[in-house]
Amino acid sequence: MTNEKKEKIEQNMDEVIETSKKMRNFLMDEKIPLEEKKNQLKVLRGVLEFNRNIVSASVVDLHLEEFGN
Amino acid sequence: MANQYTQNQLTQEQKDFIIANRYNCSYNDLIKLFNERFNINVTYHQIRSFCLGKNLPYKRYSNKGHRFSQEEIEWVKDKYLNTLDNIQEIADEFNKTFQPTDKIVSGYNISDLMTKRMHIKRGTNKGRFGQGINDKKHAAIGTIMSEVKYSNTSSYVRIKVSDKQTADKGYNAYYMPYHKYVYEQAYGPLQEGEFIIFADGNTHNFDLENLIKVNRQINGSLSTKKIQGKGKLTKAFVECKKLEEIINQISK
Repeated sequence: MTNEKKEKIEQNMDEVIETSKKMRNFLMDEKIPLEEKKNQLKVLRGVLEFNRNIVSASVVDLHLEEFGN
Repeated sequence: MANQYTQNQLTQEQKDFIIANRYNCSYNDLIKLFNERFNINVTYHQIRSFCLGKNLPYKRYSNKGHRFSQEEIEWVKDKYLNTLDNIQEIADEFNKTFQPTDKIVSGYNISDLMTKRMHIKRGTNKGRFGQGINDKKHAAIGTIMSEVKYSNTSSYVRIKVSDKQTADKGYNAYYMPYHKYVYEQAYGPLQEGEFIIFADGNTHNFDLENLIKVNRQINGSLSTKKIQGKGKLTKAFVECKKLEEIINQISK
C-alpha cells in the first residue's frame, strides 16, 4: 500500500469518526425532543451506511495488503 | 512420680478443667496442660474417650476463647514480632504473665489473634518474592507493575489500588488494569459488561485517545473482522457500531 493511499484512508477514518461522534451527540442530547430525533433517523441511517461502507472498503484494502505480503 | 489416671477417680475440678479448655486445645495440648496441672499421667485415648463421652468438640475458632485486652494484644504483638520464635512459647509465657481466668491461651489463639484479627505477618516465610517492587503484597498503593504474561507485546500494566483481598475477587482485588484505571479517572466508572481496548494494539500506550470503551458485542465484531489494534480504523469501526446501537434503541 502506498503512502498516499494510507493517508487517504486515515483522512477518511477521521471523517467517519467525526461524523459518527456528531451524530451520536445529537442522538444522546436530552434537550432535543425524541420526535425530532426520529424524524432525522432516515438521514442518519444513510450516513451511517455510507460510513460503514468506507470502513469496510478500508478493511478490505488492509486485509488484501496483508494477504499480498 | 505422677499418679495413674482412671476415669472413675476424676474429680469435679478435673472435669471442669477439661470442659473449660477443650474448646481451645487439641488433645495433645489438653493432655499436657492436664498433666501439668494435676500431676497425673493421662494418655491420648483416655482423654479422647472422656471428651467424646461428654460430647466436647474441639472448636479452635470458637468465640468462647479468651478475650484479649488491648494491653495483652500489645504484649503479644511485641513478643510475636521481636523476641520469641515459637508461638507455643509465647502462649506459655502469656499464661504465666497474665494468668487468664476464663481460658488458658494456646498457640492457636496467639496465631489467630495475630494473623486473622490483627493481620500481622512475622515475615519468617516471605515466599519467593523479595521485599521491594516485586513483592506484590507489600507494594505501596499506587504502585504500577508490568506483568508479562505470554510475551513482551501482550503484557498488561497493573496498578495497586487496595490492600484488602476480597473473597469473590481474590488476588485481583489488589491490582486493577492500569488502562481501566486511567479511563475511569477521566470518564467515571465502567458499567457491567464494558471494558477498555487499545486502539493501536499497544498495551503500554495510555493516551485517552488510544483507549476505547467497548462492550462485548462490539469487541466480538472487531474480532471477527480482524481489525483489532488497527488504530483509526478500529476507532472508526467502533464509532459506527456505537452509533448503530443508539439508532436501534431510538427506533424501537
